Amino acid sequence: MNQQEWQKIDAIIDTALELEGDKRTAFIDEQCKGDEELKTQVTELLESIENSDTENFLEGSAPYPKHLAADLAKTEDKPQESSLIGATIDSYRILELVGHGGMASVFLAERADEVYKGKVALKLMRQGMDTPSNKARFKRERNILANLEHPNIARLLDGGVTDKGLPYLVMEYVDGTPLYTYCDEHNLTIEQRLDLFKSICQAVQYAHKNAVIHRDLKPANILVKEDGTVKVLDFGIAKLLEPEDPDETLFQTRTGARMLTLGYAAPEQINNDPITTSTDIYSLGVVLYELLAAASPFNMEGKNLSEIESLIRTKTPEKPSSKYGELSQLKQDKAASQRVANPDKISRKLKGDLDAIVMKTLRKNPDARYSSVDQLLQDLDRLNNNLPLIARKDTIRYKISKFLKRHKTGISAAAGFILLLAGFAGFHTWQITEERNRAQEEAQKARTTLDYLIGVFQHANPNRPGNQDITAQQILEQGTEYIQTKVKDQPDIKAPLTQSIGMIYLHLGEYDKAETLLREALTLNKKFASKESRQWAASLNSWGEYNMEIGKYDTAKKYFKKSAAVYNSLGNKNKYASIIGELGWIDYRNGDYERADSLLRKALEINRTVHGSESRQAGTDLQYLGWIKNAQGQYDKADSLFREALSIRKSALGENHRLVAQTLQSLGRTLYNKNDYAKAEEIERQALDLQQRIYDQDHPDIATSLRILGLINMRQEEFPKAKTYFEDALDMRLNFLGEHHPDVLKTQNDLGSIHFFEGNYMKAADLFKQVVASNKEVRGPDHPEVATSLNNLAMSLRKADRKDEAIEYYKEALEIGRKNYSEEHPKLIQFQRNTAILYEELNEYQKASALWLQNFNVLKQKNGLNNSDAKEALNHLITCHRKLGNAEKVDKYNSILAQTDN
Amino acid sequence: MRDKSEITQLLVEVKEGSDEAYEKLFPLVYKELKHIACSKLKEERNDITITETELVHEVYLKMIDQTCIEASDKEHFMAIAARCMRQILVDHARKKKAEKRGGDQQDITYVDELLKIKQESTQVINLDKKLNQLAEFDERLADVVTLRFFGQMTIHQTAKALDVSERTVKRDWAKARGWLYKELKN
Repeated sequence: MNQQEWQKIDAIIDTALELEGDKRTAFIDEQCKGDEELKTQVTELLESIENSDTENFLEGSAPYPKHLAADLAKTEDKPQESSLIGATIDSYRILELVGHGGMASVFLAERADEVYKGKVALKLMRQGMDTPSNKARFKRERNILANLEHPNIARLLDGGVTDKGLPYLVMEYVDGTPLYTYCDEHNLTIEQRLDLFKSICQAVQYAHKNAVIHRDLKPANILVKEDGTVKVLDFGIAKLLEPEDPDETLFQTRTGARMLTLGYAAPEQINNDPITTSTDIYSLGVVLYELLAAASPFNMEGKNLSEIESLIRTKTPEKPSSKYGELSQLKQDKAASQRVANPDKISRKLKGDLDAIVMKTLRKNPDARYSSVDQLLQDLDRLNNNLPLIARKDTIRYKISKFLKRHKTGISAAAGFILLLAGFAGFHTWQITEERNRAQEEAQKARTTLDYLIGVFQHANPNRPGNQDITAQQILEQGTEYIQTKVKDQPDIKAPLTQSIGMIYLHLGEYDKAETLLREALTLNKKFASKESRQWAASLNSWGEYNMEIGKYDTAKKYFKKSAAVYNSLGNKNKYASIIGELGWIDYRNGDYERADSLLRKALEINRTVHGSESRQAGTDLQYLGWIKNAQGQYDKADSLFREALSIRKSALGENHRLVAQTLQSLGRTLYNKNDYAKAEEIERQALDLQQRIYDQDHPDIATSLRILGLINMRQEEFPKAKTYFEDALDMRLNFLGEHHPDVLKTQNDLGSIHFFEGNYMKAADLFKQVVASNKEVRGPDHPEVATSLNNLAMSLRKADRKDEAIEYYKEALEIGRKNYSEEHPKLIQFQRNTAILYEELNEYQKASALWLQNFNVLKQKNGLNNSDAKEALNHLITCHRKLGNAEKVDKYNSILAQTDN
Repeated sequence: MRDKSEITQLLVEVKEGSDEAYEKLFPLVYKELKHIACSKLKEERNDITITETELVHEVYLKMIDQTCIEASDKEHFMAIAARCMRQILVDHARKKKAEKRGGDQQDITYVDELLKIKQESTQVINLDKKLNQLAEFDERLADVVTLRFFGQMTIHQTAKALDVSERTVKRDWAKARGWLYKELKN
């Protein structure tokens, strides 16, 4: 809008705001006579003014970004802390800042006077220790801690108070990895995790015997060194910093509780009840829970402080096995593979004994937990020997089942009979507990629903400023809850609501939540909606979109097809064309280029009629068609398709649009494929610059441009530069897409290539082996990308002089290549050339010559006799036949060679 | 910080319409406001009770010599502070957005706060962008929003600071809010 246009609107609005009802309408009609656009703008703005008023938009205390404002303070600390680097505190020289927590900063330091050699960790507190009594107590406690000597406890070496009154502690510096990261990175099995956990317990047990309670056990305080030794940090530090007299304000007691990492805090810590050794047992339980089930006992996401506190105080967590079973399939698979098992096996292992042990540590009442860490350790040991656990001592049925397991053979019929009776009694007790739990759950749900409704009413009530600090996230969550409870018997309402919330989650990238809801909407619609309705089509489409987002292209395809059919029969050309386009894109991803091409041409035709040939939609279809031609190796065609898409997109969307950058990116890629590296790099940099201007943070599109720039540099043998591009791209992609996304595999493949070019052949082969395996799993065994990764693997093995292994992989690559590519596809020619060379090296000239002949014929046809590749094939052909003693063939090909230049 | 009387003189010049004085004063207020905001918020930490108006008042007391100025000049100062506050928040939001995601979420004490910071950053950046667009065709409308929203100034204070009637501020506020609502909510 420009100023003149606005002044016109502004003048009308000013008067209109003074008028009401019909008078207003009449006034606007008269003022805007003959100018429909002006009228629309005026009406829309008036509507928005009213809406903004009813919704209290930008008013009240809630919308002010106060959390952001509060965050300022924390950020401002950092420069101060880092300015300490190089400084000396008493006799310690500060080397670098290694951590930054709520209460303290941790530095890597060394002794300036070299009395103690080696590095130490220096923890500098934020808060002062002003009073003499506090200082004295600090010293006293410090001496107790300094006496803790255990292989799994990081030692406290020294401590004091700086001249500014800030207390500091000097501890053994542990160069290790946080517990969970270590376990996941090293793919530790459940048993190995339990072994590590036992070492942690032993450390805690030792401290308890010396009257020290940790008070803040959490994975960040548990490090594992590269040799597998566990070190627990920060024993008793929380206590050390607490003032004796709460009124002496180091921080208020209440705040003190909040300083804890809530995820691991026991109910008594939230309630400000006395802290005992049992508090540590609870935190240990949370750690064990996460080690086993790959999830924390409570879902704290999107909840505010008081809600989290109430969860910890009142909600009985689910058993680890149930929690694990409720994770999304993706998460279950990931966790299982990190534990070197499959999901079924994990569930089986957790069910029963491990569930019971964990649940006993997590009891709300400290007295109901294990009475000591020793007891917990005993139970963990009993696990291995099938002895009855303390955690399950109450149930007779359990004891007998343990007995049976121990004496698998020789159980008499009489024992079986006893089991039946005892088992029945056990079942009865179990049922009662279960029913009580259920009743509690129902009560909880009803409360949440009520809360949700109150929240919604408060928001809808214009007389009430939005002082109820409710986030979109919470509304979505509670909305979900509301649907599940309040309209559960009204599928006609429930289905569209569930689907809408599901789609919002999908667009927010919250795939787990989206999955649950969209699946449910689909099930409901399947049962209740007409199979010719828009609702059914939309539901099918949503489920397709979800599967597309998570990379399950086959499932997505199935649902898109069904949805397209319904939209088509409803005559909705627009939707139909867009889904056809998506289907084409999936076929393209799956490597079915012919079908992709025909689908997209169809979509292009419809879109040109519906939206016009210069439309955004036509631009998209052209873009996809360009990708297909690029993949088919028809780079000239791809080049011109992209240029056409580029000019349409620039005029339809403006120069600075994300999709313009996308087309530039693709054009760069095609130029790269045409070996025009200088031009490719120039265009690709344009794409990257544009993207970095458009997105102010990491973005998948940026990752793609970085990757292509890496490829261009790799081809020009700028390996270190290429490596940096690839590593940046891989970082971003892992971040956005997770481990098993096809794009991540591609980038891993790139990095493997760099290793190859730098001469690290076995390192490259290891990476490529992974890529082959994941590729087969993600894309199916016959996907062209599998062939590419096989080819790379074979190349590396050949270079590492493992030729017998290499040839097998080449053969496999060729087989897949032939299924996917025409005989003149550059990739196939490449595969054949590589295989033929290796056959020669293995003295298998017959096989080599057959491949060279195929290549020669295709290359001659395509590029003429004088093409250097054709000539290379011809020369090899002659060599092979000479080795085989086929004088006739040698002469024949020599005479062809004579027809070429030079 | 510069001399109190010097700053007070700058404020008087701003009030009289000097752009040059404004250019000089803005960064000074920005710095002081940020400094006070940070130390205040640090004290309060989990329990942020301090309001915008209190913050601005404190900066005002610290920077301006009360004896050489008319009481009504306070609104002019508040307006500058409001514009500074907008800049401070937008700068911080940008920084937040640029920070890498990830990290172990369970390991952070203030889970709920973090989520909100993320959302607020996006909101603030979007609002700032739209305000710039609005200013292109009606500067005063944008300014009213900056004062009312980022400075939490009342209709009365805004009217005084901009030297227009309260009726005008009310009307501008309604129009600006409507336009922003249309741009941001649709």
